[in-house]
Amino acid sequence: MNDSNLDINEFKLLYKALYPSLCLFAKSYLSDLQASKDAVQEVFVKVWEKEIHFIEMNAAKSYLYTAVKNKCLDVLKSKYVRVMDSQSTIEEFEWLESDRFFYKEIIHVETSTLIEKATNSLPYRCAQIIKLSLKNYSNQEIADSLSLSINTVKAQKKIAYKKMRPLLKEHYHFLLLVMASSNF
Amino acid sequence: MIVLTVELSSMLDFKEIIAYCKSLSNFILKGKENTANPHTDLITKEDQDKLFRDFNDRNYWAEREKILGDIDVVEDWKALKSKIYFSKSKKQNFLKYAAAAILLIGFGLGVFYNLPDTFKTTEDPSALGNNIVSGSDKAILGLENGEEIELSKETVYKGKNSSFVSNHLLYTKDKNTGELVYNYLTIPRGGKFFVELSDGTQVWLNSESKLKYPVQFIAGQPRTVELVYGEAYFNVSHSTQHDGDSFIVKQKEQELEVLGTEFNISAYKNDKALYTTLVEGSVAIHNKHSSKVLKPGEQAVNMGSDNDLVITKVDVNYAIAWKDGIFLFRDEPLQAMMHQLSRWYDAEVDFENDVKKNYLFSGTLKREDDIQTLLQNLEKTGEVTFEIKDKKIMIK
Repeated sequence: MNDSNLDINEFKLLYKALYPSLCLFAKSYLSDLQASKDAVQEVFVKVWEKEIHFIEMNAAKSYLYTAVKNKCLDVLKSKYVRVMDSQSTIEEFEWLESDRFFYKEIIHVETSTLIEKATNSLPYRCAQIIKLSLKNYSNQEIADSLSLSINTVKAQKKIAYKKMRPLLKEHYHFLLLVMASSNF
Repeated sequence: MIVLTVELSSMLDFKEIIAYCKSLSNFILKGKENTANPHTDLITKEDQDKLFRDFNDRNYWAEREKILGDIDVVEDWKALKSKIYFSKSKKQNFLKYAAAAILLIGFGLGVFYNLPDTFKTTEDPSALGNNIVSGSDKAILGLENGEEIELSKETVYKGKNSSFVSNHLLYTKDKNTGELVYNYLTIPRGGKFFVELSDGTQVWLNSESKLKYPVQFIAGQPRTVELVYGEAYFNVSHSTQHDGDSFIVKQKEQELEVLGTEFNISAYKNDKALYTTLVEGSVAIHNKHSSKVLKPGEQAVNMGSDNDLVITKVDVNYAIAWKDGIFLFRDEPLQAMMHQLSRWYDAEVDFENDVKKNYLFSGTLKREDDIQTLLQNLEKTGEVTFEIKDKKIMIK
């Protein structure tokens, strides 16, 4: 029984790491957030039931993004079946089915997550400045809204880049996730 | 049974995408122009520009923040947990070790760090002369009267005690009272085969294997079969269904006693050792010197009759992947890996550079894939190149 507890901890780790991203990703297909959550949870249930192994994080992501996409398309198909005669719906569905859309949405979610992770690792002031700068505020606008001098803003930005560099340089995070093998 | 594998090519695509995300986030954080080179043709310029505009749009981030705020990770975990506990009873029905690991081909991480630079398109092997085809279900059935029958996909066979239908050879479920009569199954290179014996025991046989078994077992005696050589996966019909008659797998170097269980035996002629891997249940193994009981997840290594049996813990998925139609490798030396491939594709292997024999590879390959696809995927690691001439694979 201890072994199966271990399993659930690793499963939880995987869930915690990827659940929000996968929900956001699913929402780009389904528009509805609750339906997206349901779809993602169903995929996680499947992973648990089938005791699928993931040796590292990218393998897990690759599998899960694909599974969530397929789940969402299934949901859409059942919903669209009745209105499929409208040309615009068919075109929209073809676009959602395409690899291009799939990759674009993965990049959306993954890049946003990376950016957030990098900014969240910064000290509070630095993070505030970078977040505003991401929202396209100019240095002057940032300085005004935080009551700082423009030179302080520039200096803080420099510090921020320096701190974030190692985070963004390393290409892949390696995470060992083995789920079924301990369940003897 | 469900086996999930991610094709290597799509995994490589995914790696490219993730690498692109890294460089893109770098550019965005620095507030630079969109010059991140995606090293990939998976995304169009149009999509790239659209993405870049989003990342520099305050509405995009505000919207994202709002959605993330509406996702309660802790609360939804509770919901998910109740769903998976509810399905726990169902879980028992799944073949426990059917799920395959999803892995990457390459030298650990290094290959993928460097992927964009080392990603060269090599010559298409299909352009070269190549007569190598992937293996399939086939065997030679040796009958009690010495007759030999070739069984393959196209064959339909109906014998006295057995019939061959849709790639399965099934024996009539009858108990014998008289003498034991033996049949043989010989699986050639490039073959695999499935047989269900008269007691209901299922046996999957790998390429270059030979099994000797009685057409019918005698009640009150141990059910004894012999794996003459090669590799087999047994799902043994439980002894409680046979009035306690145990099941024994004999080999030259050892004897294995079973009570109802699933296990894999690999006993290739050229391999230095004989490997028995237990998936479920319990087995006892005896050789000249020692007797050992195996627990699930353990592997007994028999280095020959002069040595004691050595028991190690293993990931059974690796030992039984062949049965589910995949090659599964973890830190496997290239030579050993090519040895397995050559058995299935019935090809010769030749190393031009001996150093490469010891290169370690991990990964999942589908046995149904043709050899070109498979070798091309291996080439994507940038560490080896292959050349196929006739039935020979040259490794450079």
